[in-house]
Amino acid sequence: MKQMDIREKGYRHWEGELKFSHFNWLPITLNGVKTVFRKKYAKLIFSLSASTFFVFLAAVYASTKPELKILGELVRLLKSDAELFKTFYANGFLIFMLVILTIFSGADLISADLKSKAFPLYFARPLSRGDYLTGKFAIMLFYLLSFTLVPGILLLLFKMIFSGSLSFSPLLFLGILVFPLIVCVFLASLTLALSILSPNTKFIQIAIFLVYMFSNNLAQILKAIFKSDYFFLVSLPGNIQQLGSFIFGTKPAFNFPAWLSALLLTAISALAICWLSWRIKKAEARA
Amino acid sequence: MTAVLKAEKLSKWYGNILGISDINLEIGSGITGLLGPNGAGKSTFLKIAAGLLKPKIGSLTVFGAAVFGNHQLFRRIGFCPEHDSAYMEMSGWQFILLLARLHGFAGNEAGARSEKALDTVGLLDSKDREIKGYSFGMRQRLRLASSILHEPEMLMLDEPLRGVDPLWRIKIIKLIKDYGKQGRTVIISSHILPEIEAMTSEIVLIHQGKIFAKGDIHRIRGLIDSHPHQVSIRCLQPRQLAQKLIDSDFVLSVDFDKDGHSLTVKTNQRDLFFTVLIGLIAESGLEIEEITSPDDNLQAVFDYLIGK
Amino acid sequence: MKKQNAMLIIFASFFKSGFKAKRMRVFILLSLIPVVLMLAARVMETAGSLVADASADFFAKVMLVLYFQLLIPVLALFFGSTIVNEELDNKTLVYLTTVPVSRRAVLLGKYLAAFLQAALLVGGGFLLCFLASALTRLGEAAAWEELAVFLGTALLALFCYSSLFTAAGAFMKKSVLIGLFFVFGWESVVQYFPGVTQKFTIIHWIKSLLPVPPGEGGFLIFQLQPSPALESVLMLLGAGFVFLFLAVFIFERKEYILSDNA
Repeated sequence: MKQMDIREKGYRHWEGELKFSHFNWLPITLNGVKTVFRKKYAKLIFSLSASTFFVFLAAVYASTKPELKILGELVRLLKSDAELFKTFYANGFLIFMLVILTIFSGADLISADLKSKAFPLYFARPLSRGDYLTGKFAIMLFYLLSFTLVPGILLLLFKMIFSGSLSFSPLLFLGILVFPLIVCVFLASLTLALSILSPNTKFIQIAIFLVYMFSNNLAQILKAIFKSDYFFLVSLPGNIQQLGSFIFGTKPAFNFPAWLSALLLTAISALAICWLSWRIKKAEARA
Repeated sequence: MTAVLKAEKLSKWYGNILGISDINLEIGSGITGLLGPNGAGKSTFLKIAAGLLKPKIGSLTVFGAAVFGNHQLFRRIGFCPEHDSAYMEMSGWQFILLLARLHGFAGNEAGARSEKALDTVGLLDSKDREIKGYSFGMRQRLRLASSILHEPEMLMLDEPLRGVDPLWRIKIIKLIKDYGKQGRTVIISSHILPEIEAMTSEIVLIHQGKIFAKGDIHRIRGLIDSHPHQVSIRCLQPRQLAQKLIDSDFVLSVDFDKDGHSLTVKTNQRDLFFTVLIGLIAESGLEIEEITSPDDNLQAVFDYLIGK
Repeated sequence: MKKQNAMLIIFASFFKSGFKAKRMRVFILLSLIPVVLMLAARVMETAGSLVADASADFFAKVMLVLYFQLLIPVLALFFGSTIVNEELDNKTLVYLTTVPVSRRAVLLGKYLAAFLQAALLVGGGFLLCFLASALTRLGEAAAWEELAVFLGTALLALFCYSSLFTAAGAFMKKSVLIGLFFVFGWESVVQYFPGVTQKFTIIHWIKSLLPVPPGEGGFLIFQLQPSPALESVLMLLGAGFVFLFLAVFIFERKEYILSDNA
């Protein structure tokens, strides 16, 4: 009798070869990306998120055409490529829009599954916890990187085109890749870690925003009282700015070692992923 | 019959999706079954009748008044929704008591009515448990309790037996029948045809937002002249009986079943067929074990009407 | 049924159940964070690590930044927008609209419950912060006056914001994002603009009531040109009532479709 290929992860033993696929998470991601795209206000949020790129694109163009005399202040600020990309990635408006994007695309990713009791649907399929989490992560990373990494690379390309020079620093290119990856992984892991807390999506949306705003306000208050910049380690946007300084080698916004922010963001991402994995394990066991 | 519910040219759509279209309907006291497959428009109709939705075209009145925005009507109307929803953090008792008080019952009366409603649906023992700890069937019964606690003159039940165990199905069907016997108006929507048949013979068939038929199920069946009736006869001499029937004009076909003990006759004049059959049996002395009409039920009527 | 009784029944029921909800524990913790900070500052001041009276200055900053610019708008946004939206999400709106109670009474009853919950969170936090900062000044009338001003302004702010977000929640499902954009987008940006534009924000009228001179606390206030106190009170009250009226108007007339995709 011909042996069948088995793609079943039940609790019984089968005769046959269990087939693995490295892309079990892909259907979750594709479906999630389409769902987010179809949401109300999606195009508005995407337009606002992309607006920073267009402003900086105009500034890059203006820097090659000084006779135009537009966006002079911005052009003067962006003296170097490192300054340009650090300012682009770590500017307040883009960080704000990234937080809005995480709320929009990520707040309901797991909380909606909790609300509709969808875990039995997922884990009655040959899906591992890793597949489920990877699928959800990938949805968020798709949108976050679309408005960070992709515009960053495009900005570099356009800079080269406008300046008529194809030379660029490999370290700068590495920075353009690494910075958004760290920030987006951090934001995605934090958002998903919060999303699993409650089936009430509105509560999660507010929680995400509170983490962003509260951390910054708290840092400002503590700094004002204790006169130390180290308190900005508590601030989410503050850490992102410091990370930018660390990666692009520019002057840090705050007076503490910039590598601390990189370490903190990475540590929080790792903790969030471990927490998620543990919570999903509990949910899978119940399913 | 005085119409309790009256719909005139009633239409409702959601964007591009049609809910119901050009419904003209009067429903009086007694039990009326609203039948149709999923997505037929039953829930849309009931939601308009319960004041949850507004008609796009036409009107729907209950006790002579429009329902939407007319909260006073709900002293006389009870509605059991189809969605599995409740205030999960409340206990069954807290939920029903809240609704009793909102219905205007104060103090002891609210408590007494709540107790009675919960007892009627068999949830008195679980009344202090949080609703999130209830099973699906228990939550369904709780929703039913919420609709009957004020003993309304008109009861609208959207899929009231969904998820209910067989024992409680029988009890709820009896409860609904008792309501109908008291002269109250009960409208039940369902796609489970045997359930409706057990409660009432007065039905409204809805499909794709339109009413296909309304009235007594047997009368509707009789009106469908173009569709032959089937009569199945179990007897010891089926071929002999077939011989006697085959010459009649109103007998369209005769089929013998595989077991050889029964035959199925198709006729387009049901009443005449039965008159002749009775005469034949009396004359010939044939022993007839059983006579059934396989398509004289709701499913067959429904399938025919929606063209299956 | 009498409108007032129905409103009170709804208020009592949802006020009680609101405090039992798990999310309330999170909000209580959140409201206590400024208190903890206040206590820490007080302890440090007593230990000499901070200059004398730094805690009073800290109190003002904590109130302004954490409460008026963050906690109050966020609590108002959550509590206000969930009044209608939560009933839609949980498909429980049917139970409140198929009883002989007007929709107005339903909305106002729920609003009162939500407002009181938020007010207790904010007021409780305020009081504790005040006690922590003004422990040695409790005999002074000026200290209590300051508390009264902050508390009164906070309640006005909560009323105005929560009414606005209740109306937004009654009108649309995605009111949280719109609310966040309003508070942290529009209201933040407009603070950079001089002149009459600032008056199209709620925060302007709130800051006009607070005892912080314009231009101080650089990162907190950008171009505040405060309006007179009476005008600010009337504007906040008036706007609050207008938003609440709008919320009732919308809720009475709008049909809410409980889809399975809610």
